[in-house]
Amino acid sequence: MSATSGIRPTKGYLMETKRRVQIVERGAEFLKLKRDQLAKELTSSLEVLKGRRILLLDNLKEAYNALTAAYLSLGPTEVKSQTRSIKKTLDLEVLPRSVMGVVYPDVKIISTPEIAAELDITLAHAAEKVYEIIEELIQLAEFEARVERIADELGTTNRKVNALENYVIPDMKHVIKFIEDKLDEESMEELVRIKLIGGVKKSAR
Amino acid sequence: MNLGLGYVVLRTHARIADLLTKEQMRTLAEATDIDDFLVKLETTPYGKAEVEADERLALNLEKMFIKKFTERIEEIVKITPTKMGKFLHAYFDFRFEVLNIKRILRGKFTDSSVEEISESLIPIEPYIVKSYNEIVTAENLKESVMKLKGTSYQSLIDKLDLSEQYDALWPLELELNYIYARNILKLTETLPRRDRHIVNSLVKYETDVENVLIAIKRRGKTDVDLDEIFPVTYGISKEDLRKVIDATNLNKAIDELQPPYNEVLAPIKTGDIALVRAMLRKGKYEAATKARAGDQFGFNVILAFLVYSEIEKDNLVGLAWGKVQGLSSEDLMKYIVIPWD
Repeated sequence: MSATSGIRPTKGYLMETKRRVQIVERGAEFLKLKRDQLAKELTSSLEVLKGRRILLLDNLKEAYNALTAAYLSLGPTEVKSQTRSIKKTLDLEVLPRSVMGVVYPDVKIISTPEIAAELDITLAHAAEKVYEIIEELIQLAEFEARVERIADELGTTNRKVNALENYVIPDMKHVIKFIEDKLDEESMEELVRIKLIGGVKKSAR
Repeated sequence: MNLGLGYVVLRTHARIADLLTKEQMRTLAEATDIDDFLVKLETTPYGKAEVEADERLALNLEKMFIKKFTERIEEIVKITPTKMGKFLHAYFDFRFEVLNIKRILRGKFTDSSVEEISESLIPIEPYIVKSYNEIVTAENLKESVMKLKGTSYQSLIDKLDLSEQYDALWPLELELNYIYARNILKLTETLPRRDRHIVNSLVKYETDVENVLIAIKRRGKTDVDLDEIFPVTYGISKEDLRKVIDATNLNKAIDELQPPYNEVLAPIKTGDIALVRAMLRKGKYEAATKARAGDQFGFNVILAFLVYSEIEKDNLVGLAWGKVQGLSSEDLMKYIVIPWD
């Protein structure tokens, strides 16, 4: 179906459509600004994410080594048994947070269990390292979720901008041109009709 | 059957020769994987490992090594003259019983199942308690501790309030450490005077190092009640322990400790905390070797053999676990003690 089918070529409709085009164009400009800002945010976030991942891998290696050393020093059964003396667990709170309309989870560590007193020093050291990793993992997961949502939002915004620029606005402009042409045609017909009537009246005199 | 000390010492010398040599231990550590480790183990006095090769292989091998170790103790204790035999029986079985009670209490503290707790126990006959099963199947932690009423572990009942107050297990675990140390030192009085020194030094050395490790763990805390945390101290005084707790510079605090404690704890300065356990074992090994060298025909030889056996057991447990995990021999060798030739 053509964009102009069912359109009433009236001056009122032309004015209304022109007003709407202006609003849509302003909206498209805003979306372009949002898209640019999101792209900027995504680029810088990806850099940070890359750095954090490298750091996390290093820390993971360190924690793994500490845990391995604890197993080698104490034996697997003793390690398993000592971990049973830890009753409390990590207490987390997950709340939604929004930046530029992008909602992502914000994870807060409310409390970490007291582990040092309960475990052998080798295992306590390993557990401390593992808890540090868990905190980093939570922060990284939160950051990754944020980056993912920003990327999704960027994709959506980009599609909206493209749709507005390539379809909606050209279609509306086409409609405006169609109405203007129709109105011009009608006014031309009107002028010819007036001229003809004027000529007939003159010859009748 | 109790035979003369000379005979037991002779038998012990022969048994020391049965322990894995430095080369055998290195060969095991250099095994490419756990299958290779088991093949290499077959060529040692341990022979073919009759264990299930499932996902619990490391735990099964640990059990096997512990069984071998307890058999070694029993064989020697059985033929050792009454007083010494009784002491050695106490020295090892009491220690393992304390470890078993700790494991039971940990399980009860976090409501682990009876099967899980029983699985973690060292397979030895009860030494002081009547039965482990009775403590394992108790309703809760309090009931388990109450089952120890009237035994050498009676003082644990007094620590229950503290445990409940902190909602933690450390008051009970610390008390168990001191019950063991106090009782063993008391038992050494039954030994001839010349044999007491080595036992005293081993127990005191271990207690002192554990005290420093506890102090390190409590570093920076202002509300530490020294009498509550360290009811027994030997070579390292409470003042020294207080210095460690209050130290802003831990490396300096470790350096200021007297030898051999500053040497044993030196790995902490480089961040390799687990190496302290290897150093502790090394210290015990050296003390036993020194005592053995001082008297090749007495009690020291028997005790040295049992200390070596325990270190060998710990090494093999670590190696087997490491091989199951696919760790390299360099990583493994760092944490095991294989100094004998």
